[in-house]
Amino acid sequence: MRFIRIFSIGLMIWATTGVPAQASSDYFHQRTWAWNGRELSPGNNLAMLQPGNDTRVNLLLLLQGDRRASATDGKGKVFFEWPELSNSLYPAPADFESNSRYSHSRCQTVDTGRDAFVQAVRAVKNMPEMERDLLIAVRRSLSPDCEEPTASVGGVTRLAALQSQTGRDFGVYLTSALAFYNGDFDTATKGFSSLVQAKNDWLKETSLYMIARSELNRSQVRAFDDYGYFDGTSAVDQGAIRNAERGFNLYRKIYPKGSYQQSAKGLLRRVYWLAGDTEKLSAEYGDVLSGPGATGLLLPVLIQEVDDKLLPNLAPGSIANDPELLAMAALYRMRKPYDPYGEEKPKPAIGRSEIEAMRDSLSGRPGLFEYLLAAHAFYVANDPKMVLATIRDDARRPNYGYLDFSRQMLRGRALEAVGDRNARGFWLQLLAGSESGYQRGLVEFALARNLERSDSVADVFAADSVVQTPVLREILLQYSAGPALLRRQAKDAKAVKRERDLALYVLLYRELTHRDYSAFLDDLKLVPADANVLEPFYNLSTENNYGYEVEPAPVPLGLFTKFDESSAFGCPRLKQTVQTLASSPNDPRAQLCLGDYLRMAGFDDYWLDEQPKTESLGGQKQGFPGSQFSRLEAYKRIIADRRSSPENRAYALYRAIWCYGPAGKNSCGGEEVGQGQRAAWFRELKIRYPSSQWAQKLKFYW
Amino acid sequence: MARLLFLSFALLFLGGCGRSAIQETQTVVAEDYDSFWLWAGVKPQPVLDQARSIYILAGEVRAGDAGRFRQLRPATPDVAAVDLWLVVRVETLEWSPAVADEILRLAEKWDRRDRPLTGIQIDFDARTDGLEGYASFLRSFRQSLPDRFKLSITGLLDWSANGDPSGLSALADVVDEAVFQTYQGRATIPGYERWLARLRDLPMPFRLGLVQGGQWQEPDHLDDMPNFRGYVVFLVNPSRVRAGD
Repeated sequence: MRFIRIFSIGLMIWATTGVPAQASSDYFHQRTWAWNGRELSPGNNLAMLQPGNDTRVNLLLLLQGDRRASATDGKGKVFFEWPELSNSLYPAPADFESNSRYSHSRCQTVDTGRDAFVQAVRAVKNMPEMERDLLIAVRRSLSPDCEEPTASVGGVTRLAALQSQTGRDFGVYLTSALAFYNGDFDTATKGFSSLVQAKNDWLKETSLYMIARSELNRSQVRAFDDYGYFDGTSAVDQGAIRNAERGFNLYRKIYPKGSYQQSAKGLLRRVYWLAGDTEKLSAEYGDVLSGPGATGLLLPVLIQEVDDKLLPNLAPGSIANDPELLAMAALYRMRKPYDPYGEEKPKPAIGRSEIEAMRDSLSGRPGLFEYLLAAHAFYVANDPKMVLATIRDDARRPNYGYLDFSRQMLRGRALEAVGDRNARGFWLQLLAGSESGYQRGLVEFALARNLERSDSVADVFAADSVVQTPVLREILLQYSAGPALLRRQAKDAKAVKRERDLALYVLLYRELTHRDYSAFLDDLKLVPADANVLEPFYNLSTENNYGYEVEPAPVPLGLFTKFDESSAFGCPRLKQTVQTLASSPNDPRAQLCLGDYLRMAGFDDYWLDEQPKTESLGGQKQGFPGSQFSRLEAYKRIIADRRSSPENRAYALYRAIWCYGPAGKNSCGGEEVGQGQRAAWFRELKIRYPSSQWAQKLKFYW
Repeated sequence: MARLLFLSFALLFLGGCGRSAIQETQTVVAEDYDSFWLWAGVKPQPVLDQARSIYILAGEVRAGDAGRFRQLRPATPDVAAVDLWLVVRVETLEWSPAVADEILRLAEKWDRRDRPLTGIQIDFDARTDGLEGYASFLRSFRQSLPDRFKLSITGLLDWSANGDPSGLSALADVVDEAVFQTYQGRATIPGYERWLARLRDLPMPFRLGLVQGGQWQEPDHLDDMPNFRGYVVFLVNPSRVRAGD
């Protein structure tokens, strides 16, 4: 049984954008348990800066300084996704809602605008009471709907009753605001423009700001298509967007302490994005990222914005002097070209000389310049020796900020790449200073990999082992451990139950399918009497999906002791079958019954039979000797053996044909046979054994 | 089309026949279909003009994101005269309390007189052994939905083969349809035929999800299955289709 990922090819973009976030993330959750330094794989982010990380993760790590995620957040984890890290470092307030009534449209200010208006009207001295009440009532009657403009007129017709100049000015403001929300930006801009000389200060200031907002909205009337997709800068009204830019800048100049300063600054980012002005946009991001507090936004929200708005249009040279943005972009450009939709043409990776040209710009972040040079050497130039020459050994610190940690991690990887014998010692030293969030699991991963590759898997399970992250231990038990180690772990009273059960489960399964029958019978005694009988175990933690199960599924050891495989062929229970095989391994009937057990219990195409790829943890070699039992091969042997009894032979033919049913795909392992062979088996079953129940049951072959 | 291999030998001597279920593989051409998924980051294509239903990704609740809903579409779709579905990609069922309300508010924003919203599709990979739990989750979500919105889910082929019947029937009671994916990335899921053979027993109306430019072999007897309602094609950006890899 396998869990099939659905939309593995989705690509995530953030709400306020419309630009494919080509760089950051999609829906691949699969954790390959391999170093994945240069290829984007959003489920496989690591706590070290590397080209393959989500660009948001790299930028967030870069902006932490000495700040680190808590050890609890990253505990037991190696890889993570962007939200895991960002929520851990910047928990959003509990009342966070991404979607208030009018969010993501200009209508989001309908309520705050009303309150400000009411307050401003109340503050006017000498306004006739009737006019004041009328203005407030009319404003309160407005409930524009930016999704369905033109629908709302509210009580604006009553504004004709206004007599005083200030009252009429506020009336003009209201009709302009309604036009704005209703999408009539010509009227809105015209109306607001007539108020910039108004006597009332609130009207003067607010109208100047609203002119720019109106022009901004006018610029994007045709920017999004019917499906809500951003059509690009060419679909933006360039005249209106220039008006908006001038308007916001004018506002910010005239009212340096004005109420809409923060909003105007934020909307300028949208202006630069819509106008396609990447240089101004990146300068603005450099500014707000260094002091996100002034924006009223959490850092991860700004980083998400950078990903959506800046990254897709980033060209070399368009970032000014912001070290973190420069580093994020440089790492991005070391990535192996990848794009699930094929929109991106492979671009050449960043050159070493381009990084060298950043020396001065990066000087504010000691260590960053060397790190980028070393990363380039490692990921692009394939020159690990250069890494060792660039980054000195500094693995004995009590703790690390993410940049310093990244430097040491890269050094460790370079030591591994050149085959340095001290790599293991280096990881052990680094581990002592890596308790912070997501750091420890990563160093343990490096260490586990090192041990596996030097035939020292047993050391991972030694009493004093520092590799304690469960998922790493489980991978090695499943794929790399031999019988002795599995048996030891299965019997280890000090091990956690899950690990003990898993070791025994893998041991029994492998003994059964590697024909170590007497060992199987011995070890079967370790299965507790109350063991579960469920469908075969599938380890979500190690194999797939989100990497970490909330509640680990129980290991169904009872499958080996209690499963009932009785069928028309009349097999005994598994234990008895294996007892027969232990004394005569080639007994045809017992082999057929072993096949029936594996088939009925659900072990066809079992995931444990598939070794991870070589570069992955657990991908070195299977710790179990001997070849794998295959139902198809067993059937072939019985069919080929002329001494087989008619009953056994008829059943073997029947089962061999069924290996390809009902859809022509072999589910029995072993070497494939063609359709001609299956047809021949079908004929033979029908002609030689016409009265057998198997011949009578089978109507087709596949 | 099914290619039947009649065995004259078997016919002559046995009065029966053997046949093969091996079929031809075809490339999925979006223009041959009328229902599509439009994911975030995928540029709308002219083929959408012929759509009878469009499933548009609107937002997601990601694992590791404290059960929050995030919107993924910058503007509200404005398409009329199709069955429009608002899709929410869901990685965890542990939603923060506000999520159902947020989805509902968004649905109401999409649902206008001149372009009604057909319903909401939840895209969640429920574990095959967790279907009953998923059904009860959906039941309570459905209770918060106005009756005018239908509820669709995406499904895993594995459900049909290994899902327990009571879990499947609990799902069938709460959803209007399920759409099963037959692909992983661009490729058809290996061995998918084995799962498809079991779809006949599914107690709910279902569709099959294909990927534009992907490979697809229509299995036997699909059209005979009473609950089969056709296909939904996952659109991908055009250069990818041309590349054919």
